[in-house]
Amino acid sequence: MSLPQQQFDGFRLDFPATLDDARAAVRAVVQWLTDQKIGADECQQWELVLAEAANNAVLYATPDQARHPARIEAALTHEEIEIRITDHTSGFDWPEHVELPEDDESEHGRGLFIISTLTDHVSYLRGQGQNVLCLRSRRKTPPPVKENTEETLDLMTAEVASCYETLANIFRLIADAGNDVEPVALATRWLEELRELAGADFLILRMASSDVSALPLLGCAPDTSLWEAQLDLRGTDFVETRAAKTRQDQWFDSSTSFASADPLLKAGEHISGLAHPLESGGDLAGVLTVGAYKPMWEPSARELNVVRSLGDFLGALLHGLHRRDEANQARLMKRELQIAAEIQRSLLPAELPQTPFVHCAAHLATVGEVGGDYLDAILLADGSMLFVVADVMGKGVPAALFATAFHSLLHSHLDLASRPSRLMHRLNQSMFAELDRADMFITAQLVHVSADGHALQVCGAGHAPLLLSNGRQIQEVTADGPPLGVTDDAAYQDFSVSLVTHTHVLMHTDGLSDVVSGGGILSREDLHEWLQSTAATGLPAGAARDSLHRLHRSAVDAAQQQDDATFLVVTRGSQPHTASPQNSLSHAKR
Amino acid sequence: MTLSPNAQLAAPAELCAATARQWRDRLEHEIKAEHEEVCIDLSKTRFIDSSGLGVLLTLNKTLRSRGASLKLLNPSTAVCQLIELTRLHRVFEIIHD
Repeated sequence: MSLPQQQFDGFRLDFPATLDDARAAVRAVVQWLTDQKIGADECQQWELVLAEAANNAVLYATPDQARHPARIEAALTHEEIEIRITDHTSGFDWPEHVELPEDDESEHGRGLFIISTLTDHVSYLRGQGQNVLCLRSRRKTPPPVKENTEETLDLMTAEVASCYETLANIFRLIADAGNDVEPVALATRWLEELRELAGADFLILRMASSDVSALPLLGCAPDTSLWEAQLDLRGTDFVETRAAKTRQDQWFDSSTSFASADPLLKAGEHISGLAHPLESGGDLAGVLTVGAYKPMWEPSARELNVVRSLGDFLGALLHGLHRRDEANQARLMKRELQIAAEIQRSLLPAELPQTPFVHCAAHLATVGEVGGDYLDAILLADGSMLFVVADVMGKGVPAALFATAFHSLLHSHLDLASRPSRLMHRLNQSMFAELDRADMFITAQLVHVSADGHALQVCGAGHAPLLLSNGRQIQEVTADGPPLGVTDDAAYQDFSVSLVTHTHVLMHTDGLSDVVSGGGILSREDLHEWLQSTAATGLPAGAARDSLHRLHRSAVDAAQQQDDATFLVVTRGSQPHTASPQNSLSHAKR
Repeated sequence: MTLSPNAQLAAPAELCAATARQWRDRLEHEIKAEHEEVCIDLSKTRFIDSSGLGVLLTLNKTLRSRGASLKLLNPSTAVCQLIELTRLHRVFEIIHD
């Protein structure tokens, strides 16, 4: 069998007159048809037709005739496939009407029927020494459209130019972003550039919020207040939110069914364009919407390429800048909290003052960098002492600021310290307006102990009760008024107690044991039991403080909670002795 | 050894003039007089021409003459189309799983 001869503008193959070679020749023709993009079904039909025709060219050849090879030729036009088979048999008369055998079960006589039925036109030319069977059928597979080389070249040139233009713009954008420009200004400037490059009428850029629940507006071109400041991504089905949720381009035009509240409709009903999702590192960065004031925007490939490529890059860049700003903000916030914590610590004495008769020790907890707990022990000019425990509602910088104000006011009105209720009233009057405006309040407890340690006066403002014990019994003193900041004409009362020797007094915030609300870690009974045993054993203030801290620690560890207890232990000694101020105030900070 | 009354044989991928003789020889060897039913599995046969059909028709006629039957199993769509084109669906018993 010879190879296909290329000088013929089609397919031509000479093959020996054997059944195996005929079969191979048919396969070769079918492969050629497949290469010419003729469909599989059409090739399958031709395979059957040619098999029948090629078999005839072989089966009816005498040994002498079989020495001459048969030939198969195929050619294609736009409309038809034509295949010729030339053999050197004696030939036969092609019947006028090709029918199936009358006997259904006859083993022969179907080849010509198959050929005739599966082709549009058959002609059989019987000649001297050679016969030609010519088969033609209309193409079922349309010929592929010939490529217009010039047009393709133009398109490729435009595409390369567009890529170059986009790349050049990206370099400019990088340089611009390197100038520490503010993101909104950067976006506004580049949206205007992008609008001109894309031949669009308006652009809207929305960047996704940190929790990807909303699309706040970052910028638009032209700069206008037309667009919604923020789109909620939960539930709403607008063109822009759909682009964000599906992460797929959303085209819109005059035939689009907009949701009635879709913000794009603010530009009018006859608008068209594209909402393009922006991604950065697999995350949704935002949505860039490009629109035109006409029923159908048909951007060129170049314009679309610019919108997508430059838009994607701008989105990724702004997303990065946004994340950088967030990190800076977090660092700033942390630093602010550190400063606030330093301020709060500066409000506290390094050591608590002691007198010959009255000793004290305290523990202060702060949650995070800054807490809302406050304590103070002030030795007054007449030798008496003022003890203060307060809790500013909330934590963080606002709580620290109010603690600072509380501290300043307290120290500027120490002339009222011997009458805690008057001092409390003054504090409330001074702070009410600010606390009320900030919707905050402070609970506080003021305890004044006379210089000889015999008399104690207490006043509370929404605070936990004062606990006293002489070792035999427990006394709970409420002496309560409303917290500071709740009402400007709040009335407060003093409650007087005579202190006997070995009396232990406990002031605390609700982190230790919330007697009022029932919260806290230690129960009221726990505290009573501890205080009574501590007083009974005459434990010094520092040791008593440590004992209570250990008790509280073991309780919070068991409950896997934070240590947010603040408390102050005051003891009334039996005889005057030199007080040791060392380690009278301990801190717990997480 | 007891012989099963049924025989099942798989037809070649191409059952055509080039393979018909070899396939006919194989059938003669495999199919015994005791077989009451012969099943030809056509599921792997992608191409049949009129010569291939001729082999199946001869087999059908031979089996029927001695009271046995022929079943064609799972022919492909293309083979079915040819069988219908040549109206042999009236002759062959065709079984699809």
